[in-house]
Amino acid sequence: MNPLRIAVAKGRLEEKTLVLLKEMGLDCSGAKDKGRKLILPIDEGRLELILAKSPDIVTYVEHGVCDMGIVGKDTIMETAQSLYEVMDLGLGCCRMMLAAYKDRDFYHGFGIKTVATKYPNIARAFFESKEMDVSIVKIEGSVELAPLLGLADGIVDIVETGSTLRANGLEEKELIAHLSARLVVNIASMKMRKEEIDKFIGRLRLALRSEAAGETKGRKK
Amino acid sequence: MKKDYLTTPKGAKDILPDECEAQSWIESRLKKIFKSYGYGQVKTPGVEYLDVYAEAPGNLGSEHMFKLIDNEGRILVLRPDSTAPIARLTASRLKKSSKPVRLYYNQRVYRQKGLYSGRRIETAQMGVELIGANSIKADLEMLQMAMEVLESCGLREYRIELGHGGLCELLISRLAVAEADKEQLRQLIQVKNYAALNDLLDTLGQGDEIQAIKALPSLFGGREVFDQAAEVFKDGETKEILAYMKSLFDVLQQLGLKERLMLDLGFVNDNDYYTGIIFQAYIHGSGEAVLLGGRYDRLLERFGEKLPAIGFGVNVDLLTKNRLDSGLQLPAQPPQVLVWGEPGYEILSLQYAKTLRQTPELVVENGLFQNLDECRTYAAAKGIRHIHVVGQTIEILEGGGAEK
Repeated sequence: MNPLRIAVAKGRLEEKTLVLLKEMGLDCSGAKDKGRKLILPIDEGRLELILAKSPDIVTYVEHGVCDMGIVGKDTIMETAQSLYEVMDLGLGCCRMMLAAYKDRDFYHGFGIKTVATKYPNIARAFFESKEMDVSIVKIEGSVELAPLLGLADGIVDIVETGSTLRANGLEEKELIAHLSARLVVNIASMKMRKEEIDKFIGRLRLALRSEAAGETKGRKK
Repeated sequence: MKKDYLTTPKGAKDILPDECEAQSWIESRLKKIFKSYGYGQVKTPGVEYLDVYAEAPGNLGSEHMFKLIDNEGRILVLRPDSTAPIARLTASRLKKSSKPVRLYYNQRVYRQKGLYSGRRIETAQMGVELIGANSIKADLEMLQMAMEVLESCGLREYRIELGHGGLCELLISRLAVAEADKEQLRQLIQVKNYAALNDLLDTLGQGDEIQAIKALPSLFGGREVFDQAAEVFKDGETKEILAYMKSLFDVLQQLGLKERLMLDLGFVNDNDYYTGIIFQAYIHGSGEAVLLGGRYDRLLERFGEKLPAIGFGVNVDLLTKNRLDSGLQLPAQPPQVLVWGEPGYEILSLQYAKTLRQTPELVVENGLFQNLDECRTYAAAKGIRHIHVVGQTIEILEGGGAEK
């Protein structure tokens, strides 16, 4: 049997995920000193770890070339069409927000608003749920620039602390979704390799619990 | 100018001889099974009126169809699915035929896919429809055929998953909550998002339905699922569905499915299309179901005939890919013989080659070259073993690739 493949988002979530995998009792020495290798055997070859960019994780899992993935809810909301989202890992918590100029009513007036975002699908779904026509502009870099330069009335973006917004005269207007890292599973893998995946989910759940317990203990000290 | 004529549209592709061979192999297996169960082949037009698909399942919304306008301004679609046209033709052309009607199809379907999503807009599909029968016997016939389809393709480690199209909707319809919440519930059940589903249900109140819906996405696995389900399904209607599923499950086990049979009660029914059981088959190396079917007792009514029906479709492309990946499909062999007639013996050479071809399996090519040297070069390049030179006598020469 081929090893189960799990894709993990590079960057912000990578380190936290690796800690979690170790907590699960998986031998992750294969993921250390990875050099330029992209597919890393862990847990004595029973698992393969793939480090990839978030949107690619959804692509790989949906096509079934990776059985599972750990990826942010923002990416799932923006790109996913058919996969199972079985667990909230509670890592990398932040919020998807509508933000606009401070002290100004974003909804004021009858004109069509322009919204800048890296997440056009999320923005579209959000305004569609309000039955509101908006013009959405896709921006790749710092989305806060768009209202400052006069291109947009507001932005839809991830907010962690809100300091960038404040520093630029913007503020959070409305919550679109709470975000955190999720465990996603390919639909066919969930059926074909149920026993292995169930076992993985069980161990992951235990690791999260013991980590949570450890944290509260740590705080008490 | 951009040379659009040298490439195929995005999501479409040419199929070359080796892949065609593998595909034909799959098709011939399935065709044999379908015919042996008494199903007759139908072909429906490549284009249909959009209205034919008005109540297709959710993943078949009109945004996923290719549309054309006919010369009277009506909207046509490139066939996105074969079940609706077959329902149409059964309700009209075959209205007076004795029931049940057993039909099968082997034709391609077309659906729009996201740009650069790596998905195909054209899929080879084969499937069966059993129209005018609503009983456990009809359901079992379908599932038995589905099993045979997979096994005839040499698959051993497949899984067939059984679900029910009415269960989830039945529970949701009983909740006195806003339509938006219901939609959210359907979505969460579909993606098996247990945590968010629990959170949402906690805000919607208490009761047997709430508990049952909470359990839905986890009611998935082997026979033990029936015991777990018995604890949360309390009313007569859901119990009846469950009892039916259980009897079906047990017969299928006896028919040899064993651990390859699974149950998923958390199936969400788009547009209320499926009215009874639904089933899907999965194989290793394929990220999506290779076979999908179910009971759709309301579809024919739309075309004016109240007839129950059940059917399934097989994704022939995925089975073809599986066969090619498995290495079981041997690459096409070069022709064994090249026949070349010396000047003046051209007609004799054609007659001689025709006679040779009467030997079963023997592939004989006509040598179209000016001289024997060109024949030799060609035979060597293509790996043709023998060259038969037709002149006053027939001379047999060693061709190329004799070492193969």
